[in-house]
Amino acid sequence: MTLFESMCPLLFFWPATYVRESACYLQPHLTLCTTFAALHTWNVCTCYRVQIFEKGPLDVVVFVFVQYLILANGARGRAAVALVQQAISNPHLFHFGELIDHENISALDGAPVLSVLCCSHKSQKEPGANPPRSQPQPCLNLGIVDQQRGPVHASCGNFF
Amino acid sequence: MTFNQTGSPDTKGWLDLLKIFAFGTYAEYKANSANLPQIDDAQAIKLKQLTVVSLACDSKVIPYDVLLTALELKDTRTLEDCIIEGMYAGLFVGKLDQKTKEFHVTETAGRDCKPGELSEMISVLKAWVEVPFHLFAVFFSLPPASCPSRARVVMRLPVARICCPARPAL
Repeated sequence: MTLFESMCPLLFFWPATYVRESACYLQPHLTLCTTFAALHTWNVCTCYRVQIFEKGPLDVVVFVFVQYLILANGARGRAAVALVQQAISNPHLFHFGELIDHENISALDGAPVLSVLCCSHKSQKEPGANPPRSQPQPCLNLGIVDQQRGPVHASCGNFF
Repeated sequence: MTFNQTGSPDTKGWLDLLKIFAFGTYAEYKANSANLPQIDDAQAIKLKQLTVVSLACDSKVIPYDVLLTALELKDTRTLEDCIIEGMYAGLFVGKLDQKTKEFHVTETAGRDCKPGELSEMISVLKAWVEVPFHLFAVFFSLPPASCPSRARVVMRLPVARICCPARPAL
């Protein structure tokens, strides 16, 4: 369990006693959240008030970088690039270490992960339209890979 | 049928750019700008402010000349605007001395730790944690006569009470 995962309960279920209703601040948390105070991210968070059954209202504090980490869970390829663009454009976000360590973001470095599977009638009919295949593609568990003919896929190509 | 991999050269540039924003400087971006995506003005200002943070980690007093060179700015007015915006963003706290043309930093945010510097950071934090223990040991190693306040503290506060404060009365 990383430090971030161990701090997650503190982030998402902060007692209402320590959180006021304003939007972006974390000043009262300094004594409790010394780790994040050291990171100087206390003024970079969004506070939501939610109703928890039998426990009354709770203020939920979500840091900006936590929002980007949640978005990074479902972002791959071009979506991950768009997420990086948003992160470096955000005027309140100055720490990117957690984002770089995320598997979807670090996969931009050259990890061979299948990101876009796009097939068309034309590309299937014309063999020249297929990309040259010098070696078998890794991580292709979506269909049958034939070394001679390229990937044969039971996909939506039949519908076009 | 087209297969695109996430690790194409154009996406790798964005990861490198993100790493520069994490622990790089504006000068490093300019040196590798041919292999990196273009950034707009707001992103450039943000990277310049992060560069000021890196400079502030090295020395508390930063001359304007160093800042102008590192941020590739031409006039002092633009530099001061950039620093003031960074102050409002909570990146650093300090004073701009226009007489001596220096930026005196009193407080600064930290930047992300480079992968190779993690062990060094751990050792620094360990040393920082051990400081109060050393002070505690020095305090209690003094003879009582030379430090009357120490005797008062020992009389009033047992060690167990200091380490584990009692619960407040309900």
